[in-house]
Amino acid sequence: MLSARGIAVAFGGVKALDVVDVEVGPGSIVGMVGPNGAGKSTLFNCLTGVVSPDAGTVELDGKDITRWPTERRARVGIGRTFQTARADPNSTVCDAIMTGFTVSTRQCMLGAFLSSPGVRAEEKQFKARALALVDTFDLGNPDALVGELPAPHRRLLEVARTLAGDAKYLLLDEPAAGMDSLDRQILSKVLRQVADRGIGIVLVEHNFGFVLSLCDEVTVLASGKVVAQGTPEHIREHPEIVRVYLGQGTP
Amino acid sequence: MRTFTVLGRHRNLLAYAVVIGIVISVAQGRESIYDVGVSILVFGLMGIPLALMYGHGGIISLCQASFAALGGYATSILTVSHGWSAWEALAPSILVPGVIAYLISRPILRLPELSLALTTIALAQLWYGLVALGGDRTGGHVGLYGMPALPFGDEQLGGFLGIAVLVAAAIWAFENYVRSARGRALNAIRIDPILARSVGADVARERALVFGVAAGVAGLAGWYFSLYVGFLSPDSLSFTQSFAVLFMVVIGGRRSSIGPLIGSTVYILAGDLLPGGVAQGVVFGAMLVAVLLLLPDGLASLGGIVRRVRRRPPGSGSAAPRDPAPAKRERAHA
Repeated sequence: MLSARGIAVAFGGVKALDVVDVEVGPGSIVGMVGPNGAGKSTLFNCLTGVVSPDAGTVELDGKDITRWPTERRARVGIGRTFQTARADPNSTVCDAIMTGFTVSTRQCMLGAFLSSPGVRAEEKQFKARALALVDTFDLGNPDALVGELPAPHRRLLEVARTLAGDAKYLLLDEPAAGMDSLDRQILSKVLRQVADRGIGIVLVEHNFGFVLSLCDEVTVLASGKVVAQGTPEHIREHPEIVRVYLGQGTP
Repeated sequence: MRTFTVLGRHRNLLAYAVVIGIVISVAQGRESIYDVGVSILVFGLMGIPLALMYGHGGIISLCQASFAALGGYATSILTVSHGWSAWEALAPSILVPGVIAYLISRPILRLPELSLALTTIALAQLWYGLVALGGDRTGGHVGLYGMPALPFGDEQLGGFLGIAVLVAAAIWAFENYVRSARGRALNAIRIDPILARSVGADVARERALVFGVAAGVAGLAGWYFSLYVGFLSPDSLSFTQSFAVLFMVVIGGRRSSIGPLIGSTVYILAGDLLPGGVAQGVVFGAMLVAVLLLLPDGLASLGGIVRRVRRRPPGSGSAAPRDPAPAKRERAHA
């Protein structure tokens, strides 16, 4: 269970988050939606360790990780993606995914310089796993350069890289932004498969429809406060949500 | 299959070995050719770890020659004043600069790229001052001499082969490293430290280790250089040389294991052929501008570009992007 409780963050007097709770268990998909400035990115950053909250705690399986830096969270199985894809445009798709193994590698520096048998064996295994992920995400040629991939595929690549790191929880920052319905279908299908393997997923999204169709739990934020929280069915019928977001004819 | 991949990984090493073979067969024992070759290779040995550090890790250093000097001085002091043999001085000449670099790098490497470069300049100057003021211990401005000969046999060929083998080892280790998980972490740090941290890399430690290793290999070059020349003064591996090493790495190719060697070859040969300091400055300056504008990854990237152009079947551009329209639709939901 990854949970954030009573999170409050203020940026120079502006309350970005005003006592917000959110939690995700193994195998479930939790979505955070809301307009720009709602505080969903700030909440996301508190979970990843980029922002340290003024009040409240972030816990992983009962352990307080509120002050842990990003890399330490990565090592206990909290992986994340970024709003803008950050992979090196000049590396190959396969290499970009293999960057995700940084968190689990046992290679020491000397072994890496000498290409010791242990390092070679591990690299072989990493390569096979990366190629399997290329297949799962339908990314095409593993030797293509990341810069040549269309933008939506670069986002899928980000998710693939995070999965390579054996994450127990995935934090996805607007994974479907700029995707067409076909890519969104691939993404939904893969995320559902990932969740079925017992991995908890938290995603921040603009797109209401995508979140409601994919997630098990949805948190709607506005101006740093929770407007509604619950299952997609609950959200769909929530009077406030219907009035503000769904009542205007958009699905 | 296995042999093929190993060869593919060490293609640069193979090319390097062929060139060394040609040089030896052409030289026919002529001292002048070996001398030029040794200069090129000593600079190359300082440059190869800098290419790893800068081209892959994004860390600029302008004190690579100072670390070589540190290794050279460790060698000279131990052999001249304490009677150590050349082999006995080998480990200290690597460890002294390596450990010192590692220890001072933790605070330095937190700085952004430019301030880091400036700090390494300051370090080089500090080191220069310390050596010059060192009195009898360092030989002061005059320098130290009387080191034992290189332990690779007396002949010119032995000395040349010695440095050639050290450089070969550096190329081999470089190629191994960039294909390991550690190498990928180093590249992630250069591209984006936030990304690197999100995949679990300890950015400060990873950078400090590479900085330390680069200094250690520079120290090895200093060990060789001080024994080859048999004389070491504060000016023999000075700040100018640190600049020259960075220049070679950028010209030759900062991401390639043999880029620094291509760069040092250009630098040394052009330096021998061009008349005075002014002409050299103009030519090197023009070269630097041209490479930075046209070939950001240096002369070594020419081969790759040619290969890629030839391999691409006619008419196939990059993968056609799919319909970008949905992005517009989505904004309506927000």
